[in-house]
This record gives sequence, C-alpha cells and structure tokens, in this order.
Amino acid sequence: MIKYEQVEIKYGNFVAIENLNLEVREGEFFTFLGPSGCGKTTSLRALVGFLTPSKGKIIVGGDDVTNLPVEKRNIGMVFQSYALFPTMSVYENIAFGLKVKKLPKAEINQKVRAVAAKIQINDEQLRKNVSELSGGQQQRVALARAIVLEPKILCLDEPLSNLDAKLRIELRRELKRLQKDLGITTLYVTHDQEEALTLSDRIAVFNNGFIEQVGTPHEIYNHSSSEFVCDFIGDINRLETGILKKINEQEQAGLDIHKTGFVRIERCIDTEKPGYVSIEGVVIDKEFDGVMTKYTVKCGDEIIKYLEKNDGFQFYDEGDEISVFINPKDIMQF
Amino acid sequence: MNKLTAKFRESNISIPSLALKIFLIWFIVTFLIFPNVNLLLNVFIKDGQFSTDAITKVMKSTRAIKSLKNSFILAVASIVTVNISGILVVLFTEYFDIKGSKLLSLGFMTTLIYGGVVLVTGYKFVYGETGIVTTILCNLYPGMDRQWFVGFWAVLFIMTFSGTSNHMMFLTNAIRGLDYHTIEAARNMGASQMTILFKIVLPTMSPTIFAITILTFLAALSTMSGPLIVGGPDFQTINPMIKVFAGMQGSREIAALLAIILGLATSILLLIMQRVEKRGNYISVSKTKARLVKQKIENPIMNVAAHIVAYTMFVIYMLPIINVLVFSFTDGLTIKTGMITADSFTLENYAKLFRSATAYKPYLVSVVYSLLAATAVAVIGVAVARIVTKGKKKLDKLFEPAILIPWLLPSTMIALGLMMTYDVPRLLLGTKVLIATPVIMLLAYIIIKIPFSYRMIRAAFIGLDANMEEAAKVMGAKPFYTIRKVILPIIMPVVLSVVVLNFNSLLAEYDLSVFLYHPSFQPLGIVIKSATDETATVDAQAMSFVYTVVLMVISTIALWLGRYGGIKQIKNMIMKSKKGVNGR
Amino acid sequence: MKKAITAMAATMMAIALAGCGGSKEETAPVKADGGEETADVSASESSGSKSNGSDETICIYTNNASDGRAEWFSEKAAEAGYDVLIVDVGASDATNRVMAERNNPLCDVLFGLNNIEYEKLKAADCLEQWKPDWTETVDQNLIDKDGYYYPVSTTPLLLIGNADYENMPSDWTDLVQEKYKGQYQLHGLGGGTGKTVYASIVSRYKDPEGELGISEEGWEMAKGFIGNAHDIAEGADSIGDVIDGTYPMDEHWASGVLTEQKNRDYKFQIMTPEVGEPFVVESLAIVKGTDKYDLCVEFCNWLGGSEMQLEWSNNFGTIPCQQEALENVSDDIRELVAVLKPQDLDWAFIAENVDAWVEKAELEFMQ
Repeated sequence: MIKYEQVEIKYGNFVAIENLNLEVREGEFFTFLGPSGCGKTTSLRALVGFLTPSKGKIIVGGDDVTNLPVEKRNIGMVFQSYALFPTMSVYENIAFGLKVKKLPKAEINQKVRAVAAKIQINDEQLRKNVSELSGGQQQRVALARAIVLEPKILCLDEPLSNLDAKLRIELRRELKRLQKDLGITTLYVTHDQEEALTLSDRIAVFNNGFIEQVGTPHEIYNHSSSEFVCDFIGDINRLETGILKKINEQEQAGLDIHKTGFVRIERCIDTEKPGYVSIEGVVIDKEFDGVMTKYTVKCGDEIIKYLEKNDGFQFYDEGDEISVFINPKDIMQF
Repeated sequence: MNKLTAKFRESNISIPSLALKIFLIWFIVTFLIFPNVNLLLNVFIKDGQFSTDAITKVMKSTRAIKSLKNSFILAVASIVTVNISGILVVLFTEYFDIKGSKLLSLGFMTTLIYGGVVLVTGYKFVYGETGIVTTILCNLYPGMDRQWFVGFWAVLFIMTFSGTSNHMMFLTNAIRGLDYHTIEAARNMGASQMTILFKIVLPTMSPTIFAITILTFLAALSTMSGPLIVGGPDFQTINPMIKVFAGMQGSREIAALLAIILGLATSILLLIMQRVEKRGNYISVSKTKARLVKQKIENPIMNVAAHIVAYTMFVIYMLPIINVLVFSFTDGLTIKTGMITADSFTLENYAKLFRSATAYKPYLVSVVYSLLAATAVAVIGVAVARIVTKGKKKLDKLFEPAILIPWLLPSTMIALGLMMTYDVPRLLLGTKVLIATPVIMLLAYIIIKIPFSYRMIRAAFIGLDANMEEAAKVMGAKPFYTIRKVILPIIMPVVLSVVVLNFNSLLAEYDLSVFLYHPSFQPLGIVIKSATDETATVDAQAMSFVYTVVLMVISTIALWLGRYGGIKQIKNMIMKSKKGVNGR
Repeated sequence: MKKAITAMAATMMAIALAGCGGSKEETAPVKADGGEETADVSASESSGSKSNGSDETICIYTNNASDGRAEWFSEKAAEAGYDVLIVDVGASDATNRVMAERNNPLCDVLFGLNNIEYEKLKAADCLEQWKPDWTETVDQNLIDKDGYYYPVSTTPLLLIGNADYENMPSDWTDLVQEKYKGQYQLHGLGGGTGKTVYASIVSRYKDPEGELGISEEGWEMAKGFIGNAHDIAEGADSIGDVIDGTYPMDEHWASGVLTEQKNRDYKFQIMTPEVGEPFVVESLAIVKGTDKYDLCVEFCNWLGGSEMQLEWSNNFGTIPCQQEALENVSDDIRELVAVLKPQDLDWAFIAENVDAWVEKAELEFMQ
C-alpha cells in the first residue's frame, strides 16, 4: 500500500531522514514511534506531501506520489494542534473538504451528520464555533474532518498528546475501533510507547533519522533488535558484569559478561521457578499503583527492578533482604 | 517542456507563485526603486557632475539645522509620550475595569476619524488665546499669558493625544489576544497587579508596541500641521521646509538631502527595532487560551487615580472635536475670533456645501480612490507578508526592505519621483506616460501606504498556525481556495483594520494629491484646500470644518464597517430577512 | 454594497496570494488583476485625453478660482458657449504641473499666473505663441515681447496697517528698523504674495558681481526684512491680527484688502512707497501641445476682453488691465488705484533668480 524507497529528506544541509525503506500494508494500523527529533514526523509529512524528498520515491497503491501535490493525494491528516479553522463552525470544519470537492449540499449534509454520529458530536455541537468545544471534542472534530473524506490513508500526528490521561485512553480505544470499522490504512506518529503498543498492528521505531526496528508490538517488545529499542520501549533492567557473572555461574547461559544484558522488569519475579536463577539483594524502594507494586532491589552494585501483581498480601518493606529470579532466556544482549 | 515542468517541480517552484513574484518585483522596481533613484540622480547631478552644493547650503543654514534638530527631538519625545498615552488609553478601555469604559473608548477613537490641520486647529481653539481652557486658567491665575499654548510643549501635547490611533487599532487587538491564564499564573505566584502589568502584560504586547513605535516616530518626523500652527517661531520642524523646497525646481536637491537625512534616521530606528524584536520570543506558547477578564484595580487610591486620569484624557480627546463640530455651525468671523455668541450659529456653511450640485463629486472621487488604493495595498501587503513569512529562499526575505522604501522618503518626494520619472515613455511601463492620467495618483496613494500595511499584516501572518494551511491542503483544497476560505478569514480583522486606517487617512490626502491629481477627478484634499485657501474669504475656515465634519461621518461609517462589526451586522440583517422569507 | 466591496477585496487578495501555493488555476486571476490595471490605464487615457479628445472642453489651470470664482467663471463661460474645466492650483504648482505634463499636456489655457511663472514656462518651452484681439486696449508695457502671454488684471501688493498704528513706514525697506521688529506679518515665501514682495525688495539691489546677482547691501536688507517679520502661522487670522493690533501690519493683495474692508467694516492704512508697489500682472497664455488652439484663442479673446473683465472686477474686486473696463470699475477700486503706482521691476531678472533668492532666504534668513 505505502512504500518508502530509499528516501532521503533534508532541511537545508541537515539530513533529517537518511535512506528510509519501509512498507505499510493495506488496512494496517502502523505507528512511527520514537523520541522527538528522530524523523518520524518528517517521514509522515513526506508521505502527506508537505515535504519533498531530496532522494528516493514514495509509492502509494503502486503510484509514485513523490511529487504529487498535497491536495491530490487523498490522504487524511490529523494534526497535533488540530488546526481547526477558528473562523468556522464545527459543521463547516467537517464539511470543508466536501465543499472543496463540490459535492451537492444534500450529500455534504448527509455525510457530515453520518460522521458526526460516528464520533459522537451532536447537532447542537455541530453549530458551535470550534473554540467553544473542549479539547477532546476538538480532537474528535479534527478526526471527523479527516475521515469524512474517506481517504485511502489516514495520518495522525501525535493526535492525543494535548489531552489528559483518562481522555487519552478513552479516545485511543475509540480510534482503534473506528480504524477497524473503516478499514483505513492508518499511520500514527507518537513518542508514547504505550499508545504505540496498544494501537498498532505494526510499529517502526525511529532513531536519529533511521529505523531501528519494524515489527508487531509483540516482536518489538519482546525481541527488540537493538539496545535503543529495548531501552526506549517499556521499563528495563540493565545487567552489568557482576550480575551476569552470577547468572553464568548458576546456569550455563553463555552470556557475554563484557556486554550489558537487558531484561524487562516484569519478567523478573520473586518466587522460584524452574530455569530461573536467583540473585540476592535488599529492597530500597517500592511504588504501589493499585494493580502492581514496583520494587527496586539493590543487588551488589547493581539495581534490579521487578513487578508484583497485587494479591492482597503484605508488601516487602525497604531494607528487606530478598531474592529476585530471572530467566536467562529473557536476557537480551546486543 | 516536460523536462522544464519537472525541473520546476523538483525545485519546488510553482508557476503562479513565480508569476506573482515577478509581478511584485516589477512593481517594486517600477514604483518603489526606480522613480526615487531617478529623482535623487536628477537633483544631485548637475551638468553631468555630482553636486554637493546642497550639503554646504544646509550646513550653513542655522534654520535647517535647528529644524532638523527639532524634528528629531519631537520624534524621540513623542515615542515616549505617545506610547504612554496610547498604552494608557488601551489599558483603560480594555484591561482595567474602569467605569464607563465604553464611553471612554468612543472618545479615544476620535483620532481615527479626523486629523491634520483640522485636528490641530481644534486643539488651538481649546488651548489658544481665546480657548475655553485658557479662559478658565486665566480666571484662576489672572496674570497668565494667554498665548501660553505655543512651541515644543504645545506641539508635543497635541502629538501625545492625537497620535494614539494605532494603539487604539492594534494594541487593542493584542491585549484582547492575551492569554488570561498567564495573568492568573502570575497572581498565583504572588505577583502584584503592577508586576503583572509591567512584567507580563506589556512585554507580551511588545511586538505590537515596537511596530507602533516605528509608526509614531515616522509620524512625528513628518508632522506638518502641529509645528506650523502652534510651533511658533521657536519650534519649527523640517518637513514644511522640505515641502517648500520640493516645490521649487531649483531647490529640490536641498529637499532631497533633508529627506535623505530623515530617511537615514528612520532606517536606523528600523534596524534597532528589528534587533530588539529578534531578541525576544513573543509567540504565545499556550495551548489553550483563556479570555481576558478586566482587572479591577485593588488599591482604592490607585483606582480613583486611574479613573481621574482616564476621564481627564477623555476630556482632552473630546474638547477639540466638539469645538470643530460647534464651529462648523458658526460663521467665519466667529471661528477667526473664537468668540461664540447667540447669533454666531448658522446652517449656511452646510447649505453652501450641499447647494452646489457638484458638492458630492470630490467626496465620490476621494472615496473611490481611497477604497481602490486601500484595497490594492492590502492585497500587496498580504502577498508580500506571505512571501516573507513563508518563503525559504534568501531572495524572498529581500522583499521586506524593498517594500519599506516609501517609509524613507516624505510623500512629497515620492510624488516628485513619480512625476519626474514617468513624464516620458519608459520601458518598465510599456512606454506608457503616467503623468496627467488618473492612475498616477492612485499609484502614489498605494505606494505611500505600503510599508505601514505590510508591517501590520506581517504581524498577523506570524501569529498564524502553519498546520491550518496544511490541514486545508490535505483535505484537497487548492492554494487559492485555502487562502480565500481559511487564511484570509483568520487574518481579516487585521487586514480590515489596515484597510480602514488607510482609507480614512487617504480621504483628505493633500501632500501627494496636489502634485498628481487629475483635473477631472479632484480629490477632497484639493477641494478643501482651495476652499480654505489664504486667498479665500473669512468663511473659508468654516467651510473646512464643514468638509471635515462630513469626512468624519464617512470615516466613522468606514470604521464601523471595517472594524467594529458593521459588516457582520449587515450580514446578519440580510440573513434574518432571508430567513424570514424562507420561513426556516 | 459594502459587503460586495469586502467580498471584492477578499477575492483580490486571494488572487494575489494564491500564487504562492502552486496550481495552474491561479495564473488566470493574477493576470486578470494586472488586466484590471491596464484597463484602468486605458480608461484614464480616454478621460485624460478628454481635453484633447472631446474637443469642446477647455481645461484651464488658474490660481484665480477660489472663493466661488470657479463656479461663477464656468457659468459665465457656459453662457458664452464655452465648456470649461477649471483647475484651481497655486501659481507655482500650476507651473510645476504644466512643466511635468509636457509630454501629455492636459491644460489648454493658463490664467492668472504672474510674469515670474510665465517666464519660467516660456524658458521651458511650455507655451504657445498667440495674439488676442484686445492688445490695443491694454498697457503695452505689460505685454510679453515674445507674444506668449497677455495681461488681464493687475494686483498691487500692499502693506496694510492697523488704522491707529502710528509708525506706518513709507517703504518696505524701512521695515528692517529695530522698531518694526515683530510688527509686520510675513507670508510664506512659497506663495505668490510673499515671494513677489520679497523679490521686489531684493531686486532693487541688482549687482552682476554679487551673490545671485544681488549686492551685499541687498542681502543685508533681505536678512533684516525677513528677520524682523512675524511669520504667519498656518490658519492664523492675519487680517484679524492687524485689526486687533497683535501684529499691526500685513502684506496683502489689493482686491483682498478691499474685500476684507467690506467684510469687516474696517479701513486699513495703506503704505504707498515712492518707488511704487509691486504690481503683479495676471496674464493669459495658451499651453503648448493643445489640439484646440483656435478655440483657445477665441476663448481667451472673450475672457481677456473688456466686458468680461469688468464683470469680473465687479464681482471680485480685481483691477482690470483693459482701459475701458478700468474706467468703469467700482468707486473703491478706482480710489485705491488712484493712489497706487506700479513699481518698475525687471521681471525677467526676477523670474530667473527668484527661486534661488527664496532658497537663500528660507535657509539663511528665516528662523
């Protein structure tokens, strides 16, 4: 569906994207994930047409769109700032693209109302000026404005970042549902790994103008292909020589003690299991969030964190001496 | 051909934008650069030799040096005083909770509808020998000199209270756009009202204040009426001198030299302002803005003081205009002597104006000229502002200094430049002769209003969210459509303000018009001047007031339409009547 | 209608703007915009050439049109069968305009300018030679020897004084004395009155060796004359100031003096120097490049003729050059004329140098 072929994008002399190769499949929810300044938004803007690559091609549905004007690409976009038109009502904002297409009034009306129903904007809200809406409602309007045009592709640039946590989760679910209903190929840009993992079919992790890894959330999370990826996504323990040595002693894991080993904190436990090695330490901190407790354990010179599900029993306290158990197979080394 | 278009695409050049740029470059070269360069060459080169006589002459002239000095003193002083009064005016009407602020703002808006000779004469009536204020003061202090309202302080006083139009127009906008959360945040952190005003509110508005400061400086440098009418022998400024010399063929190089000195000063100020402006960040970082709530002054003494100052200023603003209105209903002798008696009043002046079958014609001519010019200037201002703010190439940025050229020359010189350049067929204009056509004055009107308009419109563009335009594009809108439906509506309030200000100030334009008007289309400024000429009779001044009062009416309508929601109200009325018909 | 205008404005702006984006559709409107301007130019040309094209209208530049004169004049002309367009401009502005419009003349007839201005125009080759049918009945000395301009009326420039003012000087040159400091009002040297009076004083000291043709003594005089004066502020009531004694003396033109006396019911003192007063002669001329020369000559014959000039005088208090008209003017004019005599002035010399003299005065003598 979408193909980036050896794409290079420059701002003046600064190379923002170097040799990007990527394929997004039809109907897929695909996320560009990475820290700010990594080139994810740049890649998205090149697809939409705001930027022209200095090298390479962008292919959509088999056609080369590299030099096609933005307005001819039929790609929907939702901006981080929403970019709603302040001089127009909600209705007019949603109808804007349809009017551009010169559709008959009745059809415009029908489509606007249909999409408004889908995103739960009522008639009264349609008549309001966009500035009178709350942040979440503005977000919905921005989305409605994009999908009412039935684009081949929907691009979302950090669409939820201006909302509070609860609303973010609510809208995230809605977004996912909507995407599945409509079956639109969707490109999603975010720096929030949780958003990326929950929403995406596949994720591309960007770093410094390169893609570090492309894969399903499961692959990215559990089989990170680089230190950057596993560090960026999720909470991780860094195991250095001391602990690695201990592991190698207990089990023939064959870990390279000169390299850092990485293990997800939720893969570490405090009860013994076959195949796990034990490491002794002292609890120095605990964080309880209702569902889970995150313990920080000092093991020699190193720190290991692990999670325990709330089972109604007493917690360990700071100063308690405990053992943490790790399965050497969970340790990633690069 | 295909290759060519491909190349265009590659280099991101679109053909229409190229055409527009070529048009603008042609316009700038033809009307902003060439005539002025030609004029300067003409006046400084005599018999093929560059002449420096003018410099010697000016250096020798104590009057010229003194007038120059006075102009600069006035310009610098008025930057301070006009900003103080202008900021106060806006604070009183928009920021502080002052009782009757609606009434106050009506008073403060009076400077938007009249100016020039009539305004200064209005002040002279109030504070001059026979004026009401002088009479009151003389009753309080019997020994006082009745001719106290003369010289630097008188001129500065008038400048201070008549130069606040731009504050009323643009600073008001800026303060309304203030994010109230920032004020609340500051209060939360324990800041006093004073601290908030000086550390939060005013700094946030500084881009607008900078822009207005430039305008104030320019206005003070080029002021004519103030010094001429109340300057007295000790406080004459340079612009009247420039005008006299510009009108004399043999002395134009002196006019040009003096103009260049003013121009240099202006460019220095522009540079300084640009530096200062670059140092700060003024773009609002707020995601969600809260509407400004008027601040009640907590300290009761300060509150009373603020009310007193506000209403004193209101009286200062209102007295001259009331005088003009009253005197427009009196006979000429009353105006000259300033003594109003019961039988001074007459409707004869108005009758005289409207009796003549052609009385409306100059109004029509001026309205059409001003409207065309104001519209064209807005178009050019918007186009250039967009190129400068959006353009990525170095060349694009060069539009800015080029478009500001008319600021560096007095309007008289600009008129002369056009006259002396396009009196012969020139290739730049397709060998058309401009002189003695109705177009030349329109062009001149456009030229002199370009820098101001550009400066104000640019500010509007800078505040624009770039995503807005991209959003429209993504939805399939072509650039033309995007600009018409999305960008223009957003910046329209500023553009309309600019159009209205330009329109009002061009209505009675004289300095340029006198050189360039076409006999068949005499603008108001010319007609007023000839009706009030020194060779005219005593009623002349009464007539100038009558003309002005009618002008005020037109200006007020323009102001209402363009700036205070008149268009919207009319729209609503039409919509309502339509609704009534449709029975929706 | 305003709505339409804003809509128009918005569209125009959008047109100009759209170019920055990049799509084919916009090229057309941008051109239309330019087209509008060319349309304007051509429209203007048709109206601009009105004076040339529609051969009926005579375009007149005159400094003699204020205060209802223009209306009266065009009415009279219409009665006589002439369609006129009267342009009210100051004398030096008229000169500047005619010179500037050399390549596209609008003006057909110049009326009311003085010799200084006509000499300049003559030198710039902007006038057409002609001869009216009334030359016999005017003072031959006032006629331009080259046959470009012909006298219509004269305006003596006078120093008037408050009726009770005791120190009335006997000549302009007396004003340099200390006792007159700030006692007399000076009109701007850019205007006709101020300029001519000043020139009439300075030109008395002709010295081919001196600066700008004037002797040292002459410049001393000029400096004193200007330095001692009170400059009239814009909008000030100079006549009123004379009457109430604030500044008891003022320069004024004769017809104006008579009008003011009548309007204000006052009688001024009038200075009558031995050398006479500067008489400004207001003349008629035809502008080079007019395409209705014959009509212009016919018109000027009518305008400068005895009958018309008498009527003019009766209405506006002018002093006609036509012998016959002069004999029939009102009594107060005749009374005034009887005590005045024209100062003998070298107009060609003045015309050549007056701008430089004014420049010097503006730069060095004025304060």
